[in-house]
Amino acid sequence: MQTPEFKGTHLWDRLGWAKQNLEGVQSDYRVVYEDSVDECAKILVPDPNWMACALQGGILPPVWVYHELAKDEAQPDFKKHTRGYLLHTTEPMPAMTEEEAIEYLIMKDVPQDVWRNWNTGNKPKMVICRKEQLPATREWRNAWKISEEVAVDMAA
Amino acid sequence: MAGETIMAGTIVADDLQHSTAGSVGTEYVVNGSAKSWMNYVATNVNTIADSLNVSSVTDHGTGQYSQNFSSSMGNSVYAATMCSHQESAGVGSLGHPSAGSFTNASDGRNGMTTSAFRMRYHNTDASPGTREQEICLQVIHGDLA
Repeated sequence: MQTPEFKGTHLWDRLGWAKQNLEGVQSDYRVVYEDSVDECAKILVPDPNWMACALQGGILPPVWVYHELAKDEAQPDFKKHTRGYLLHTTEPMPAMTEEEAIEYLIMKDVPQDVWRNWNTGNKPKMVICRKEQLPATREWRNAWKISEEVAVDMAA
Repeated sequence: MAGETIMAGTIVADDLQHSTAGSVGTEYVVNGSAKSWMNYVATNVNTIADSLNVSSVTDHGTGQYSQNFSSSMGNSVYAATMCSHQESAGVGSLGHPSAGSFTNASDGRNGMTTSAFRMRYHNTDASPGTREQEICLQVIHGDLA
């Protein structure tokens, strides 16, 4: 199905079109990351409708738009967004592969200090894996950490 | 109703009028519609079953999740309706906004940003600690950016 010409269309309306016209795509990819030494590993789970939008193309804005909005929100006097138009008027992204979509999603929904410095410590702060590579049960979930062995594998 | 126009695929009107029941301003429809919702299956499956305006879920640990928005909210003063169910225990839960940090639960507003809503769930049984939930249902109302 061809994506309509969405430039200038509110992102909400684009998502509504996608919801009506695209089948959700359940990705098997998961992103495991650690953003604090005091906390367990976090797991990013892609949304199937969002993934369908990413694979379709012409719907989602470039990820830098979200970064600009995050800068605005980080201001101490922030009350509400005044540059929301960036979401709606910026040329949408073309179709992505599933792997490109995961990269985009990392830059959107994982803290920047994690993905910018994912490989600067003694072990990776972030790992992209398949769903079946995660523990089969959630026992001791609050103690999950990225394995030290991942770093060994990377060094090799 | 005066001043309405119809464009291709779009009806522009300030009011909707029923023949007998009266009328309602379309601003109620726009402002009152849910801006994001999701049906999230936590536990081992860890999958979003269906949603609107969600890019991903962050699983922060036991009973703590973030709903990340595709189309950002206009401010962080929005409202959330949540419920969930833990089938193995046969109980529902109480969900509430969670602090931005896993360990600091003192300020729930830290978990409400324009890009994500972080929540934690407690069972309603006799052991109300933060618990895994098998089905999390969440609806967000508010203003979009």
